[in-house]
Amino acid sequence: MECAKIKDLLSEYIDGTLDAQTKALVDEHLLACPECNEELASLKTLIRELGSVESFKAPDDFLEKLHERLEPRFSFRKIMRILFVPGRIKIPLEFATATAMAVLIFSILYIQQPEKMIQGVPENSTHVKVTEKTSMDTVSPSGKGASFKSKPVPGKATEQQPAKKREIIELTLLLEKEGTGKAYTPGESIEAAPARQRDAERPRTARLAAPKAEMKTDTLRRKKQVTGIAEEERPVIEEETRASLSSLHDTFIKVKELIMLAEGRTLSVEYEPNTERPKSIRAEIPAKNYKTFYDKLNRLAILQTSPPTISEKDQGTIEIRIRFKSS
Amino acid sequence: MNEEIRNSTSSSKEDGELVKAFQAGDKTAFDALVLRHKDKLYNLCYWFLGDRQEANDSAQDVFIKVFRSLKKFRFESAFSTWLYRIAANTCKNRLKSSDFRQKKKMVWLDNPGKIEDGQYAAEIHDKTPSPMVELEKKERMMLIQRAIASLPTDQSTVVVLRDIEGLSYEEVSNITGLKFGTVKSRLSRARQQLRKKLRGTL
Repeated sequence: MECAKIKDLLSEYIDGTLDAQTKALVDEHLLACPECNEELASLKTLIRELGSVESFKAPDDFLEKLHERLEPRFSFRKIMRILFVPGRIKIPLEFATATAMAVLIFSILYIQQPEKMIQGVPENSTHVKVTEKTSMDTVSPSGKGASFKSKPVPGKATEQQPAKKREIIELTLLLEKEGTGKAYTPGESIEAAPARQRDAERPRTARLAAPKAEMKTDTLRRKKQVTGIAEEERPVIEEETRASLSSLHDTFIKVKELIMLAEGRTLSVEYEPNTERPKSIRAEIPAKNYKTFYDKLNRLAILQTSPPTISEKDQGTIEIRIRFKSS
Repeated sequence: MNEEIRNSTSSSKEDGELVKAFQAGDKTAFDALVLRHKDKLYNLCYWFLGDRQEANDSAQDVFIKVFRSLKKFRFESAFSTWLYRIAANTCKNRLKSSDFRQKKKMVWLDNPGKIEDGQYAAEIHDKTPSPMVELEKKERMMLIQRAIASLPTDQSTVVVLRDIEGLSYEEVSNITGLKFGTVKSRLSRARQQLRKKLRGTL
């Protein structure tokens, strides 16, 4: 019994943590007990041995591997913090949604742009109204095919209803040769307007013949009979007012003035390469003013064009190209 | 051993500075802490678990836990004490896990060193020629390690912290959360067990 108690105390005895009284008891026992002495010696050996065991070192890539395990957590926690911490969540997510929507809308509009260009090809042919395809199917991969199908055929162009948004209207201004006409005074042509209006509303075949018939006043009357236009509807006043500008330049200035009066703006002017005479003028005017503009232009000179099919209620602007053509 | 204790206490101030730096937002301070403690921690885990790969994984787990909770460290104990406490708990949980037990079984089946009287036979797998002393040392190391591993976890933890890591009773008490007297009695029992197990070796 005594030895068992002493053996339990030997561990502390070696470490020197026993109080003085207990230590004295152990010392006394050890002097007389070889078994406990042996136990003490082997315990000391064990403790010495345990204290001198090899120290194992961590692998060289320990920190690197630790970083590998920590890095995803870094970024993951960062994302979580940015996105889901209350107070921060709302602004970035809403902003992200708004940005995504903006990108989406922009990309849709951007994709539609080339379609417009394809559709704009028939612009060169006269009297062709280019309808802008606004339906969503142009965005789809089959959009190209669809747009080709919907491309206006020149012969049928006049039968088509113009698009509400924008159309490019070709107007050909037939001018008399220089020096043969009289100066144009806007106020003089008031009475002539209704006649011109009717004239413009004639079928296309008739219109095509009309400009030739209106080259000069003497031939005019003759050709009017041919085309079946009533003589009384064509007052003599026409002779003084219609298509009687002496110079192309004056007409050009007047046209520009008319565009301005119609609250429109001139987009570009095309000149003939040799003579530098104005060949055509491209302008943009509000649709509501088109009718008035057309009427005024009609009084200015002989027009080769379709009648104004745009109502005054139309919103937006329309694009027109006025060609100057010497008779 | 005493030198190690002195070193650890003198470096606790530096640990404190690094912890403060980390808490102030300096991420490199954490790396410095890892570099300072990785070897001791790895060694501790190795002696707790008796397997290098397990020791490596566990040591990494410990540092990851440290990284996550270092911001909340309130300096109620030395950083190293806190670190060792996390390590002791991590390794204790690891020893309890079914994965570890399964792995341990497989190792023992492959290398059945246990013979009668609870002693361990010397079995050296390393066939490369080496000096006799080195061989004996390796053998002794392995036997000690196995003897420690065969102890109940509460005893092995105390003996590893006190005799292998050379920590004071107070530090062992702080790490394990055991009372002073409990540490003494557990250490006494652990040493007696080891003495019996390693009678023929030492």
